[in-house]
Amino acid sequence: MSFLIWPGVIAGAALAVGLALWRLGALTPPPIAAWNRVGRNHGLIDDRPLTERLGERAPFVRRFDDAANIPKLLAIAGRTESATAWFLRTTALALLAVLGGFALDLLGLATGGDLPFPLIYCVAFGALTFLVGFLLLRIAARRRQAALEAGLSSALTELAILTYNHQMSIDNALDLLARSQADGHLWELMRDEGWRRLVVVDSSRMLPFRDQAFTSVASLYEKIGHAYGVPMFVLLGSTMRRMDDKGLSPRSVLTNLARAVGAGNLAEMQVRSEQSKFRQAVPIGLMIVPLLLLIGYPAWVSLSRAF
Amino acid sequence: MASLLFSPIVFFAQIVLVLLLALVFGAVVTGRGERRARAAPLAPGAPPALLTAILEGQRARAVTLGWSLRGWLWLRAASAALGLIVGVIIGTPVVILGCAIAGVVAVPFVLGPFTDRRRLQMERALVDQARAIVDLIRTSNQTLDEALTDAGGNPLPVVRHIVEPLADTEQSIRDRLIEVDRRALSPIANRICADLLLSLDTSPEAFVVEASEVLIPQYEADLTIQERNHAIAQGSRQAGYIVAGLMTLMFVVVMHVDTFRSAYSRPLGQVILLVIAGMVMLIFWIIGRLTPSVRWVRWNLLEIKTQLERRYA
Repeated sequence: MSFLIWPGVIAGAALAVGLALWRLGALTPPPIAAWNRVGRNHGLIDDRPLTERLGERAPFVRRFDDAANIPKLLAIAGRTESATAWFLRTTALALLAVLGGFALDLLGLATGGDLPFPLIYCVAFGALTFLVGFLLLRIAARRRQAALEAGLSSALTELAILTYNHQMSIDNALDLLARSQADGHLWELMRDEGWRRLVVVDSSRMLPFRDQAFTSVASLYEKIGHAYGVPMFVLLGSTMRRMDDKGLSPRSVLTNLARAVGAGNLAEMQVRSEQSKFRQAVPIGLMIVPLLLLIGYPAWVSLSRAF
Repeated sequence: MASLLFSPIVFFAQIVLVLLLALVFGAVVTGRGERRARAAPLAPGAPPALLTAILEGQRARAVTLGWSLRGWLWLRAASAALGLIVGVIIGTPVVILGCAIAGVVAVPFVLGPFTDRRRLQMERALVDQARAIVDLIRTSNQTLDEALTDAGGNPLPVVRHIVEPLADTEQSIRDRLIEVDRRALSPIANRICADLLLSLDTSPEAFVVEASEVLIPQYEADLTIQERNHAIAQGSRQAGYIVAGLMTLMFVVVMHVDTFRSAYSRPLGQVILLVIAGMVMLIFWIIGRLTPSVRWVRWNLLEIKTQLERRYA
């Protein structure tokens, strides 16, 4: 089998170089490259990353992209660092863990003359550290999604008040309310159009206004909801669209929406309450472990003295 | 000396050290930008400092019990001192530390059901007060401003301390509502004050319709969620009481036996006690994690006031 290793390595390296050249555009024929340049100038080229484009056709790729797309997770978590900076920092921490393992091995070697554990374990420490860093990022992203969802669903009643009698438009009211929430998550997203980190406003065929494309607030909210994984934004956007299409009054529609969301929260609370009754038995059952230890240790000491 | 210098172990150590230093340098350089970005304050919703947040939490408990912050903190300090004394009487270092910590956390744990009941009563009374204000506007043709002042003069007994600033006509109505929120320290009170602040510009007729259709049903739903939340918390607390009670009982029984106590007075015994304490803390943490809670959004009333004033300016 060993005679296959080097050819395999060479073939792998060639494949990697080929892929890199393809991604850099070196293999693209000049006419197609020129057409791409012209198309990009006119907003006719889809600039989204490959995974997102593939994700439209293959749900598996989309799910994978949602879970492992670092720039997207960083934007959802509200982190300002770039994906490269995050990757380098997490890799550095992983390397630190590897080095820590090496240092422990060195200490063991210097004192006992033998390695306390195999060197390959240090690589496992590094992989574990990288995985923990990634999981922490995912947790931060989920927490922010939940905070945005809670912030917007709590603001629906107040939106209904501010838009009552057409005092204020929905987007202005949402701006005011986002500023007024103490946790600041919603305002962080709305401030200076912070949502543009993930939301691509379609600017095709609008050459003079490419930076400020004509997009309705309703569709913007829907896009924000889809991009940041906040269903409440999608719900608000579709509600606004319905109000515009059918000429409904914001008061009654937003009031009903707030009521429906409140009823949903109540139902969810009831389900969680029922679930928690059974789950509470788990920690009480776990209590047996410290109890056994509390009694077992002195009993063991007494018995070992006796015999 | 030469053999030491050229030994593979020293060479390995040198590589590890150089890589370590390079990594620390890289982490410092890349971490600086991120720290700066995080240090930049968010304009309206900057999170409070840790100490301020803790003090706010303590003040909320004191307000719910109808005590002053000073009185509440004294009670907690006395409880901690009592725990310390009990620990000193028993004797070993870990027990002294454990009893002192138990003394610190015992008061809110024991008074928890009473605090929750008081808070629910207060929140229910606040919703009733809001309903009374709507009725007052509907029946006596008053403006919202006048109705709020009237409510401050004739409050329900349970919320007298909280609502009485509404009668202080020397302040603007917005400042009075902010003061009510500051005193109540409850999510429902915060929401009621925010909604009233936003509704001040509507006509009395519109406010009555708005309150009947939107606000009062919403507060009742909030109250139901809060009641459900407290019921769950009560269930979790009972689990906590069982754990704490049984562990304390067994600890007293074990420490009552001389041979057992002498086993725990050794260094290994102290370590075992630490492990047991860690396990109990883990069980309490699991109980906390298994208790579902509602995420309340807190409104910054000062910011709402500023926004509304800016809008009309």
